[in-house]
Amino acid sequence: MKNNLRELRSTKQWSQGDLANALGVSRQTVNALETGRYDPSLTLAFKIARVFRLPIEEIFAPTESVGGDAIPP
Amino acid sequence: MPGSGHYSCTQDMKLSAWMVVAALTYVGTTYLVSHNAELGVGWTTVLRLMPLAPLALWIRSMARFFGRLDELQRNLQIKVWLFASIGALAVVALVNMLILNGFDLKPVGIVPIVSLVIVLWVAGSFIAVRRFR
Repeated sequence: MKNNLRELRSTKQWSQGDLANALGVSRQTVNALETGRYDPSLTLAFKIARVFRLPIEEIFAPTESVGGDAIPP
Repeated sequence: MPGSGHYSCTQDMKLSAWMVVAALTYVGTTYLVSHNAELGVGWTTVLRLMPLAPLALWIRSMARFFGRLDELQRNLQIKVWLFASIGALAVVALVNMLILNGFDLKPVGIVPIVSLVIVLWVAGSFIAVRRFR
């Protein structure tokens, strides 16, 4: 899963530590998320979305097709 | 240590303190029981079970430690514990296999196994912290 967490954080002029405090996680977790080494849980993804006041899909996107049937309209 | 941001030997030591106390109690009580043949069944039982008290306190401190971790760190700790447990299991299996094949070795006791798990856990935590700086 890719994300634009680093860009969003930069626009707010927050440090990784600031974002970590806002999310209640360690700075290492924020760094791992930004570098794509860790995919957050749904709970953390919702928390991130709430902090940036954006829908989850504007922050996170799958890197490739995740498989499964397409959802009918 | 995962959780603090930087590896801290002091935090590792604090976390392992009750385990060290349990190990020392085990060694001490084993010595007392083996060198005091006149001890009754009651006292022997009490002495044999004594290491369980610091062990229970260690489990409590580990549970608190896990409770303070965030999701990435908890994830890493689960992996580190798996690494430590499987590593120790592999060593025990290897020694037993050598014994079965005629090597003159003693079966691995509980104290060396627990010590090995702790050493592997510290090593695994150190690697995990370095990887996710």
